[in-house]
Amino acid sequence: MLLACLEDEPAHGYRIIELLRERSDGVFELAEGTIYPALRRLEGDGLVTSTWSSGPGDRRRRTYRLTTRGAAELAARQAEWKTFATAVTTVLGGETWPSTT
Amino acid sequence: MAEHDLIDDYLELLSRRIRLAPNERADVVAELRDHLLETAERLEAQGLDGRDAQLLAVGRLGDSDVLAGLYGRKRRVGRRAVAAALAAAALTVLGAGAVLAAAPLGNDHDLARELGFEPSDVQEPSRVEIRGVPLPQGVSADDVQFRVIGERMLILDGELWTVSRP
Repeated sequence: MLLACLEDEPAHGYRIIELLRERSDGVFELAEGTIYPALRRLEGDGLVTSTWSSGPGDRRRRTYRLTTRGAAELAARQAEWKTFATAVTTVLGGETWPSTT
Repeated sequence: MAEHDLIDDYLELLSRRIRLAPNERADVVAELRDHLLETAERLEAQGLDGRDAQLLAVGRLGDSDVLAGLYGRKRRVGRRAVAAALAAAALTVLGAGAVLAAAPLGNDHDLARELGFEPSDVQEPSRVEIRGVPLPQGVSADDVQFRVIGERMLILDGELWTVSRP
């Protein structure tokens, strides 16, 4: 889900949390702090990379973006999810999967 | 926002608990500082006063001990475990309050000490209120002037208190 938030453009943690909240229709219940260690892990795994810039005042701001590997990983997971979701939908719809139309 | 002493206190607590190399630790603190300040600024823009904005920002980020513990972990912690730990942090401490129901309450400082809190060495005077946390029987929110913001932290009379019991 974090990777998906970075699909369109780079973002810093606060913005990522905003996106998560928007996209999950407010269902995002985790304490906000949890995304930061998660982002750090993603960076360690080479799926995102971060850069520092100066924020308002004397703040330092860390902005994340997908790496090529990260984009590929995201695409793969999205494809998987789509397959899964399609299967569930067709099964629930009473059809067998794959549907023959 | 002119002052953000409460956020600084929170970051101080977090910084002490984080187990990373000094430069990495500084990076973590800087990033979380940016987040907290942005959160508080937006809340103030929505009409909250400065102190409440900081409290809410810190509360939403999560318990500083739990958060510090998430850094430096080699294995993933289950999301549910994390959510449960952070969300329940504020309730955990006052669960002990049930035992205090029979004991006479002195002032808020006595109650806080009964719950195992001690004043930390970071202090800032300001008045805060308890919100949404179960209280011992016979105690109402109007009586108590402290706020639990984490498993090991609360604010009493504007001072940041941390758990001293083992």
